[in-house]
Amino acid sequence: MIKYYHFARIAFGDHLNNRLRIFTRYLVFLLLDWVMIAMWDLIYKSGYGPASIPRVDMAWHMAFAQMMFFLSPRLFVVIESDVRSGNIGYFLNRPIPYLWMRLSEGIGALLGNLLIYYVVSIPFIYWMVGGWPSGGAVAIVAVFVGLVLASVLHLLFQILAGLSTFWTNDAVFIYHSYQKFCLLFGGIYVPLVLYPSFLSGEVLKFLPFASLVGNPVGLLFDPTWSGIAGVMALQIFWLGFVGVGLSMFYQMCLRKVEVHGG
Amino acid sequence: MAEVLSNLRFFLALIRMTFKSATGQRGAMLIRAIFSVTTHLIYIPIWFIVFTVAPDLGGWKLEHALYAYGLSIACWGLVSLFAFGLRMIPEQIDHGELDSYLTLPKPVLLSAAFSSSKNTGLGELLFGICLLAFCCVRYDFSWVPMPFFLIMGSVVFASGILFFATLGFWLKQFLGSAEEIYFNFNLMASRPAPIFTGALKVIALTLVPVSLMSHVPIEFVVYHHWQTLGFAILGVASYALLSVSFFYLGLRFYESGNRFGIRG
Repeated sequence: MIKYYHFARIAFGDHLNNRLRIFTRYLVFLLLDWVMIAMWDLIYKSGYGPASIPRVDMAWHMAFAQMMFFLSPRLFVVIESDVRSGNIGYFLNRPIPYLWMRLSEGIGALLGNLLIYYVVSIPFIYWMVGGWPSGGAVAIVAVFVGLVLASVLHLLFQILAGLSTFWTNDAVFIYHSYQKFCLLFGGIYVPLVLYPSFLSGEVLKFLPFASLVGNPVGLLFDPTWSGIAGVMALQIFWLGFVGVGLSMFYQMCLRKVEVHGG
Repeated sequence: MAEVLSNLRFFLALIRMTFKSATGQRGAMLIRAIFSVTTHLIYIPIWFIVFTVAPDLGGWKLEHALYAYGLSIACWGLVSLFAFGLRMIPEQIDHGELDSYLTLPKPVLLSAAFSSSKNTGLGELLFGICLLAFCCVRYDFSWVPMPFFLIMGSVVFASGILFFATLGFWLKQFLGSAEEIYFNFNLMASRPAPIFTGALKVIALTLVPVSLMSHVPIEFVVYHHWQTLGFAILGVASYALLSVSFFYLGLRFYESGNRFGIRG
């Protein structure tokens, strides 16, 4: 385990050294937050806001839902580059599995992002929203914990998208497809509880996309111990399921390795 | 004048070559086109859900959101298909790939922007056009300005890409962040115009001019405001000029990779 720890530690430091990149990405995150909060403000002002969810809670929900995509590094780009350049061949004969090495690097960078986004975002979101969520600090902490597990799950999906390069030669469009599924089934634009009957939120909440965004961020509306335990149990289930699936997929990829040059 | 004509001929030749190269692998192109159409079809129900919750967003209805999405995705496709090099400028800077273009007698930007293509662009372009056509048939929007708006939106989007990609001259390994900016730039263009008020509206008309890309065209389709369209065209031209100037400013800071290679 110590070698994974060192990979994560190095990635953590390396990630935090790229200050300009972090700053640019953070600006994009704030802009998206601003747009989504403005959209729901308009909905509430037009009289269509759901009575069961206060405007402030909805605005915090939108901000945290956007945050999930920004917490993890873009790991699929690194893996795509390794596969396309043939560099993956050099990693395979090392005494550490490539898959878990990249995951530990991703977790290291994720920890760096958590430090920034969790600390800096609270005052910014408060300033944009103009109030605290009705669940108070407990709700925010619950969402933060849920988003950590969600981000690890997101990293696993990113690795899947990255490894798909073996067949598609392009991970970006696979990742964009995955992102669109998250937008639709994750409850990013509209909380899952408000989904119309033909797309039942009660069913969608069991899918992995909801465990990425809708369920952990939905804890803002229901920060009870049973609610938190339920969301995390489902996230842990999906982490295990996707982790095992990824491991099997990686074995398939190994059989397909072709090293070009290098 | 002769130089402009010569550059135009070069531009058309590049476009022809790029398209030929993109369509060379027909099977791969078809698979990606199908995949990208499916991907974008997934996004449409999101707007159905939003407009089920709020049927009218400051005058914007589902048809406006669909038109905006069609326009933004068609522009994304058009730029990816013919000017994918623009998106890759940060990587070209990092790898010193601009060296080979600097030795050519033609403008560096033309070569860097139009020398590569991404074949998912075709599916995106077709999907966007189909969505726009659907809006014209179903909601009785005018067909006439559609091609013009496609070109106008693509110029805005391409200029936006160029503007942000140029930051790569100062920020190393910027491609990942730049791709994220392009993606969200395009995504924001499909958001309803009434959201953008106050400072957000200023941003949407200047630094990230998504309003020029989709909001103004929709306003024209619905209300036929010629004056607004006129100002928007001026805005597009200014933004394009600003982006190109910014690129050439950045080029002064370009550190050559001393790359040896043959281009033919």
